[in-house]
Formats: sequence, structure tokens, C-alpha cells
Amino acid sequence: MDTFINSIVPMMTPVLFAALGGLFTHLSGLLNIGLEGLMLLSAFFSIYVAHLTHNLFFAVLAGIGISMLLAVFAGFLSLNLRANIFVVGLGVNLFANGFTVMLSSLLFSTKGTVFFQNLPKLSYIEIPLVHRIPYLGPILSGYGALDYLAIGAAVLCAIILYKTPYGYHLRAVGRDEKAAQNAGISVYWHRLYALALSGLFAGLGGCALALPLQTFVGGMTNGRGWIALVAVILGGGKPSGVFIASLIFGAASALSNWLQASAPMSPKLMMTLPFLITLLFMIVKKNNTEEGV
Amino acid sequence: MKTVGPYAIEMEGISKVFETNRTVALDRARFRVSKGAIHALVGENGAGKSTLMKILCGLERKNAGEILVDGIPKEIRSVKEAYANGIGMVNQQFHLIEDYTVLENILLGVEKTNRWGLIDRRESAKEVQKLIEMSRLELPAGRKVSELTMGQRQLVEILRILNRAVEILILDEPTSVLSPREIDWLFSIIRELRARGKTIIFISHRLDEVFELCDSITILRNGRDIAEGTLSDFDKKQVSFLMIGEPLGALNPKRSPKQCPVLLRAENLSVRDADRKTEVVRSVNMMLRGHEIAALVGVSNNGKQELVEALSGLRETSSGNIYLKDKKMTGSTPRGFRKAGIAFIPEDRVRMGASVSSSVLDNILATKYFEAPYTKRGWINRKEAGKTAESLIREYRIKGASVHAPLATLSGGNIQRVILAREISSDPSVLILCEPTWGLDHRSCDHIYERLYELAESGKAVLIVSSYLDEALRLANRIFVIYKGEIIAELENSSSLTKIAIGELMLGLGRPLSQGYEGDGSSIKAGSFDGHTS
Repeated sequence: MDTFINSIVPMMTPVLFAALGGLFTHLSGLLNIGLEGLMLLSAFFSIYVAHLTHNLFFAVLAGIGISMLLAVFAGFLSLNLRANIFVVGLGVNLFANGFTVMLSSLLFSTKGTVFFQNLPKLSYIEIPLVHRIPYLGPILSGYGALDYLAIGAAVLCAIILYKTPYGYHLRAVGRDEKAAQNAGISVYWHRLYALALSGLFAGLGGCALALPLQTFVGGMTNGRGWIALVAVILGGGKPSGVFIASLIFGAASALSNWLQASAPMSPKLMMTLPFLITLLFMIVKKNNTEEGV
Repeated sequence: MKTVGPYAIEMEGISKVFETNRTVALDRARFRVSKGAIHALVGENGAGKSTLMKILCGLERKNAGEILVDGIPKEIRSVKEAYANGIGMVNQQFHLIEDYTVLENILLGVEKTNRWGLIDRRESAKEVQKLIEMSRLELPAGRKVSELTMGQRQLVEILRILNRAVEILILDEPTSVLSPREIDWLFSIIRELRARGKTIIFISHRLDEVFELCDSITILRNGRDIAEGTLSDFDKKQVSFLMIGEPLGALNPKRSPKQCPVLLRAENLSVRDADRKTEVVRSVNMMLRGHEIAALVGVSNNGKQELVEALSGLRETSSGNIYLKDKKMTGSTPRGFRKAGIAFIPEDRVRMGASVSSSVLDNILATKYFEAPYTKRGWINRKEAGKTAESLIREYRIKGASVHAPLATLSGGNIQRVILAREISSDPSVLILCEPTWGLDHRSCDHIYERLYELAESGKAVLIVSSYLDEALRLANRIFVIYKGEIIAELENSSSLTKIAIGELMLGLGRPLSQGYEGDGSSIKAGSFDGHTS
């Protein structure tokens, strides 16, 4: 049971990161559906750079870098060359899937799992004092640096989006392009920044997925980028909502893993649980946030 | 006839061609405004006024020409650069973020921040409150824009530009949705700004207003400047002649009321507001007869909007009934109302009345695509639809339009014609029309009035909602006055009925009468509508 509770947050982290990135693009009015691909690309490159340099900082930097690069390129296609953002996003996903498998077979001569034993490990951080609180301590403390970073990022995003001029401008661009333009706000730059941020966060999501496992598997994101989009919509455009939606998905994934190991049911059926729960939430939520979405 | 220097703005040889529909909006136009003047820019719809001003404030790019601000050549490539040069524009179409508050909209783009880079809420609230008070206005700073009336939105737009410390203020048709009291307010603010040395460019179709307010004038026709000069060198007839190039046709005479069958009837109709707490329309009884044009007038926030929306099936009623001829309509869907023959044109055409990004054809088709002959066995017959659209474009003299051009490429007057064409062509028995000539020039107005007369002539009933009393008096056989949700007067239009008398009733000052109002109206002057709620 403890392992179930403690695996909720690590399961949530990649989705939360990607969803925060998606949130910026959603609010800018140019939703990036390429989160899945960006995560996958970042997962591969962070593992590869970790293997080459044995430095986690460089690994994360590489993951973020490649993801942002592709996101900005997608922005260029969509904003400068007027390509449809949905088509571009799908292109990103397909490209990332094929590209990582190709690189994996070129560099490691396998299309399946790439596992490195001697990679540096992400350390787990116990929060002083907090981890000693009975019952609550183990739940609140003892996660990886990226897990804390994700939660911190959600708080930071909430502040940026709802307390700063940048946030007001970004949301204005998404709400009414003409009105924003008329107030002297550049629609082009805000959309490009938002896409770059989606690259940054999806990149962090990819790192959070691959680095703790010290593994890259083709298609390892396994729909998390899409779930992140669901979290963006379910969250009603608010970081708090996105956080709760991601947490629910994390809990569902953790439950699914736990049941696969311990319940006398088909593990394949159990694997569908996170998606089923997400679907149920989507249906329930639909009724009371018609306007928020 | 010349304007005098030094000039705040000189635009020389400005040309603009729209790629999408290959129309020449401006052709080597010259536009000069003396520093510290209130300068009128007039012309027919489609003459290029808005385009010229959009170029000046960075919303459109010119193809040729030169712009000098205070004698210095400038390139204005974005709204931001226009603001940097002290130029701000209040557009005819509102550019407000619907779900931001009044405060957030006013400060959008010029937010006050504290040292952490966060928005300083207290400082912002203080600043906006000061601005509102200085302008002697009552506006709820914390209210969302979506909850405001059109008049209030216009005021927010104006305040927003005033807050930006602009030197040159462009107002595009600012009075079209304002009440007489709000217009007075606006004019006094404009004069105050002139006293402080600002330059104001005032675009209007209402020559009365131009002659009341402005110092100098530029007249555009077909994208070229026809004349400029100080206003005292012109008279109204001359200006309208220069704008149009031919004298205006005579007015249609008023119809005499006839005893005709009742087409639309409301019985004890009540409507609650969006949160279902307060009744905004209270036990309204009214009748519309065939062969007549009736007008509904009232100060904003008195239930005018809610009543017509209920009559056209767009708003839920809380009690009472609506009958079309003898058919009970209450509870039917908007499409049901349309099918039964009640057509509705809302005040906000761009958001509610049309889809500006869709083509002219699609807009015309929007209310009839599901009927024969446009749909056969579930398939839309675009050829048939195209034919209808083409003939309507000809009949309504809609300029600059190919059937496939997006509606947004048309001027305001032509958009209105498209909507009117659509609604009238579906042969309604009752047409409910809000602000029929909102932002239109003389010729377009007359065209629309003619259409409405024709419609009444053919036995239909027309109900117009107008905030422009002259229009109501000119068009309508009967005038309904709504005050605090109740129809407090139903007036036969005769030469003894005055604007002042109606104004009094709109403010709840007059005695509620149903016929033959004969108040002398001396207790209140038109234009000092003190009871107005903002």
C-alpha cells in the first residue's frame, strides 16, 4: 500500500510537466498537440547525454534543448509558414517516434529497450523535519528533484499566468487576438514563446520519465503526452486544475501498477485503468465546466 | 479652404489595396490635422475612413505614402509603435477581452507592477478608479466586460485609450451606441482634451455631431480626399454633397396607421436576468400589426435588450406568452421562431449577427441551408445558394463583395446590408431589428429605411430598437417606451410628439400614458439624461 501511495507523485510528474507546457499553448490560442513527441525526443536525448557525459545536469539540458528546438520549429511552421498547428503537432509526434527508434538502432543497435547500468542516479530528497511527521512524512517527502521541481513549476506557472502582465497578455492573445493586438500586444511573439515553453516543459517531462528508469524504450511515453492534453482541458485553463487532473492520472497509473502486481486480474486489463479513469473524469467534468473549456 | 499648421499628423499619398478582394481602399489620399484641433473625418461607408485610420494606428500596413507625426517622418508598423508615437484609436468594433474585468481591460498592455514583477492590484485599482472619477463616469471597475451594455463597453474603450497618455486620439464612430447623455459626456471630455492640447480625430456619419463638435474636416470619397478645411467654411448640405457626390433623395412620407391584423402579441411577458433573480422585463403587453413599423426605445439597462431577445425566441421567458398571429410561440426554439416567421437582427452584428470569417454566401445561407431548394435529400445545393446570394448582392447593392469573400473584408454598412438581405429574403412576417443604422452613412441609412418601408408596405410588421430618437421618430408609426422593464407608454407618432417628451418618459419622469401624449417637455432638456444608469 505504501508503495502505491509513494508511486503516485513519480507517476504524475511527467504528465504534470507536459500539461503545464500544453497549458501555455492552450491559453495562447494555439494548442500544441505535439507534447507526446517532444517528451519522447527529450527522453531519448537525456538518456543518451547522461550515458555520454555521466552528468545529469547536462542530460536534462539536452532533453530540454532538443524539445524546445523542435517546438520552436513547429512554431515557425505554424506562425510564419501558416501551417495548421494540428497537422504540425501530429507531424512532431510521428517524427519523434520514428526518429528515436532510428537513432536507437543506429547508436545502440536495438529497437527495443536501451538500458544503462552505470548512469548517474537521480537522488531522492528527504525534506528535513517534514519526513519525520508520522503517516504524512513518507507521503510528502522522499521524492526526486524533478518531482519537487514539477510541483514548484505548477505554483510558479499559476503566479506567472494570473499575477503578471505576461500572463494577462498571453491569456488576452488566446481569448481575442484582435483585442490583444489592439492593446499593443504581439500575438506572434506570445504564441512563439508559449510554444517554446511547451518545449521546455515537455522536455522536463521526458527527462522525468526516462532518467529515473535509466532506460529508453521506443514509444515509452505511452500516451502521456495525450493524457497531458486531457489534463489541460480538464483543468479548465488553470494550473491548479491541471495539477489536480495530473494527480488523478498519477494515482490511476499507480493503482494500475499496484493492481497488476497484486490483483488476480488480467494485467493487460489493469493497464487500461489510467485511461479509463481519465475518460470517466472527462465525462463527469464536462457537465460543470462547459464554459471553462 | 485649408487646414493650418503646425500639423500633428500629415499623411501624404496614402494608398492601400486589399489583396483578398482586390479592392482599392485608398488611392493617394492626403490627410492633415492641425495640432490641438478636433478634426472630423467623414465619408460614405467604404470611402476608406477606417482603413486610413487603421494605417495611422498601426493596425493596417499602407502600400504607399508617407506619414509625418509632428513634422517628422515615421513608420508605424504596429499598434505598439503607434502608441510610442502618441497615437491611440478607439475602434468602431470593440476590442475588449470579454472575460476580463473593466479594470483589467483598461490596464491591458500597461499594467502596473511591483518590484517582484507581479501586478500591483491595489495600485491598479486606485489608478483606474481615479481615471473613472476624473472622467465623471460611473463604471463598475470589477465587473466583467461581458456583463456590460454596448454603451458601457464603448466607454471602457475610450477610457482605455485615455489612460495611455496619447497625444492624438482617433475615435471611429464613437457615438453610435451611446445614449444622449453618454454622448454629452463624451463631447465634454473631447473638449477638455482639446483644452489640454491634445489632437482629436473624430469619425462620424452624423453631421449634426460633426458640426457641433469639430474645428476642421476632411472629406473622403472612394478612397481619395475630396476636400479639407476649417468647418466654418462648410455647411451641412455642402458636406453631404461632397461625401456622396449627389444630393440625398427625399424622405419617404410616414405611413398612416391602418387597422391591420395583429401579427405579434406579447401577453404579460416577464423575463428574468441571467442569474434568474431579478425580473428585467415585467408583465409586458404589446401588439405589432401588419403594415406598421414600431419602435422600442429606452435607456440601456431597462430591459430593452431582454425584451426583444424574448420576442425573437433567444431568451427564456419566466411567465406570460408570445403569440404569432394565433400560434402560441412560448417555449419554442430559436429556429422554431424563425420558421414561424420572426426574424431578428441583434445589436452586435459582428459577434451575434454574422460570422465575419465566413463568406458572404455562407452568411446568407446560415438561416436557410436546411430548407429547399438549398438542401436536397440532405445535401446542400451550393449552386442554388450561390444564385440566391448573387441576386441578393445585386438587389441590395452590396459593394466590394464576391460571394466567396469573407464578410470581414466588407465595410460596416455592407455587412449590415448582407444581414438585412438574409433576414428579409427569408420572408418573415415580423422583423425585429436592433439599431438598424448603427454606424452607417446617409446613403446606407436611406437604403435600409427604404427596405423597412417596403417590408411594412407588403403587410409585414417591423419592430426596431433604436437608441437614436430621431430615427425612431422618422421611421415608426408607434413608439413603445420601456422603463425599468415595463412598457410605460405606447405613443402614436405624430408631429406633436417630440424627442423631449420621449426622453422624459425614458427616464420615468413623464406620466405613463398609452395614447396621445401631450406633455410640453419643458421640465427637461434633451441630452441631459440624468437618470441614466451606467
